[in-house]
Amino acid sequence: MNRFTALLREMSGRLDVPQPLKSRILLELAGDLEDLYATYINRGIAEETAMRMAVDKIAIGDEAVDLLIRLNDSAVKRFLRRFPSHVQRWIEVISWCVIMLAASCVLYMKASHGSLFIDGPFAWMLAGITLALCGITISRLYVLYIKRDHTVTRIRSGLPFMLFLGCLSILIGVDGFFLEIYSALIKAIYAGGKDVSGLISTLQGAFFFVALSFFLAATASVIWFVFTLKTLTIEQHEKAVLYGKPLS
Amino acid sequence: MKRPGIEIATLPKNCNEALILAILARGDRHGYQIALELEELSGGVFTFNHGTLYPILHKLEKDGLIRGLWEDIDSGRKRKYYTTTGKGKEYLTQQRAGLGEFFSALMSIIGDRTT
Repeated sequence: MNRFTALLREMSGRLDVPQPLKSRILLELAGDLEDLYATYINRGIAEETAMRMAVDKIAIGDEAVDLLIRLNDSAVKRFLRRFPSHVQRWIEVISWCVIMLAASCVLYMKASHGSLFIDGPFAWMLAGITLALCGITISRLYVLYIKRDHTVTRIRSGLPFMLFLGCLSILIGVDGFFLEIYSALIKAIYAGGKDVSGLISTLQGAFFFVALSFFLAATASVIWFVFTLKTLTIEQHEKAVLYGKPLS
Repeated sequence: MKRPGIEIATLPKNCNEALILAILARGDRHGYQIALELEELSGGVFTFNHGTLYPILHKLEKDGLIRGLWEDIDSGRKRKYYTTTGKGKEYLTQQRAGLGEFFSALMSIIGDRTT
């Protein structure tokens, strides 16, 4: 571990810039601290004094941190910083709600016109899962790639829930498939085997429905994988500085 | 009336940039070396804390006036050093002219007229 780890950790907490830029700034600081410390030691200054002098010389004050943050802000952050923080949050929430409303309207139209080929609660449950997945995807995409808010404590938020929704999608798809086929078979039996076309139509819808649910689960997994890779990269960059490992 | 290239409001920024570019024009440097050399060459008149230096270096890098490069050191560490670019050298030449003009105009007003 670096002898200046405590200072670097404190800087890391204050420096709200995206990775990998943040780790590069901190690695540069770490290198300068070490070299300056070595310079003072070579001048015959005592170790503790040399450390203190190096920290005094290198330590970045709040104004400089603000300047660094502003220099490296994403376009979205630059726009949001014009407003007070509580207003920023409202802007983000309202924008997300508008997008989700648009997505809900599209899904409602698809589900209510039978475009999912299966009516009833299962179609609506699958539509709900699709909506929830859209919401999380949009939210993570915005935070990780557009706003580039790489605060380590928040970057994984929502990701485990994506996997849960994927599994739920399979569960609903398989349950819906068997229940629909079962009810169609019962109807066909009571109709004396005359309603074959209805049975075939239900089978078609049920197969499409279960395929859709598996597709949704696969998509959720792929999106989860992409976001998880991104968060892992961010976390590795965070560790690189604090544990003295060089950048890859 | 001739307008000076440098204005009072931007003087600190112009001076900081010119000083850093001038040091880098002498050769590639690490960040802390720029600060130490400025202090040494100016006899302590110009003192840069890295708190001031880093944002300026980043701004110059973003504007394409300097380039930050990483090198591998024996102990497995990576160190960043800075080098000036062609655009930076051109900018320094302009700053030299502008600052020279500015300080001539300043001294012509505040200079001692009794001797």
